[in-house]
Amino acid sequence: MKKSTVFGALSILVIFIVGYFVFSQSVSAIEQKLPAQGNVQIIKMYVEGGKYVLTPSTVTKGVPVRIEGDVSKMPGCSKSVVIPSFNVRKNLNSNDNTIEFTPDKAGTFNIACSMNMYKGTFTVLENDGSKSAYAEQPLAAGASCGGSGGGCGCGGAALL
Amino acid sequence: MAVKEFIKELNGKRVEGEIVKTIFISLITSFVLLAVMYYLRFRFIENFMPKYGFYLFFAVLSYALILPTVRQVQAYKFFSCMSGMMIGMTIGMIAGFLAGFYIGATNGMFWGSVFGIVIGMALGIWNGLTCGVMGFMEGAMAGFMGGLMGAMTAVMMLNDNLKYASIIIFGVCGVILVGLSYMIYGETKEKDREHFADHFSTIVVSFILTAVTAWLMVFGPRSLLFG
Repeated sequence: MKKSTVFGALSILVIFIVGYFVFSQSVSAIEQKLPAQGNVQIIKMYVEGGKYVLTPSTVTKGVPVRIEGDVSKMPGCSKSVVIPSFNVRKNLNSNDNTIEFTPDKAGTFNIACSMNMYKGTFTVLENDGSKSAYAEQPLAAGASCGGSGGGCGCGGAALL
Repeated sequence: MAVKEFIKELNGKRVEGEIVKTIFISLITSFVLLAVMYYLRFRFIENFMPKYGFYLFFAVLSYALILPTVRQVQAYKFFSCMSGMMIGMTIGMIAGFLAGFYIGATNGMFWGSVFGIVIGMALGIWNGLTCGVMGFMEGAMAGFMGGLMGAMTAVMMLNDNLKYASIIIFGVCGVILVGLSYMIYGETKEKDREHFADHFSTIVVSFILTAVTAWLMVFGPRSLLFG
């Protein structure tokens, strides 16, 4: 058998084995991360004046949170939501407008669009209801959108 | 010149006959290194696979595609300006784009850009120099642009099918690199090989690229947006 054929076949085999390991591990980890049902804190979210408005903007640590976005009031890339502190990244649309996570630390945290153009904050209280002094460092200003929402040059249409 | 000749040469005695073997050696080096790192450290990191596994996997595949072309270029040492510029531009752009893209996807645009620019310019200049200062310039410019563009594309696609985009981008870059190999073969068909080397350099470069990429992704600095 020709040498390149052998090395080619071995390369494909190695890629397949490693790829299978990587993808199977990724899927099982994601499945384990789904938040528990039952006691859930619900937050309504929309965009006003270039900022995320969350109602209520305070939740309790350790209890699952479900953010329900009003996508009709979320222009362009504001539908692409990132909460860095809780490793949340999701693109909202009319069929799937919820973000679920469980806050495991208390303080004031940032929420932003993936282009860092639209921003907001929310507070996570300690289990006993007290407010933590921790406040995440504010995100730096975004590049080109400005605060008025809608007509930014950051590819909002592509994210719809 | 037919593609068939090039395919036949993949089993020949010229440097083209070592391309597939180089891919294999690069893959084995990188995956063995990652396996060791995973066993010793990464498996204790929460959500390691969902966060980094996919991008590390494709970064390794990308390096395994880039390095054989580098080996092929270095084997002939000297090219005409037109070919050398094309080589510097293609390798610089592809290496910069892919490296910037994967780091951009996990660490943000700044660190993705920095890493992409460094890798793209280093490889672009190294290979562009086979034709002199014009190739140097072309490799430097392409590496710079590719690094920036790769990281920017990753961040802009963050919540818009980034993983699917990674697969498509990897596929397109693979096709371009195969095209470059074919072009080099066409340009050097009448030339003799100038530089003979074993696969030690492939192992070293694969090791360094994979180690730095993995370290940056997992422990490296990142933009605030990436937590």
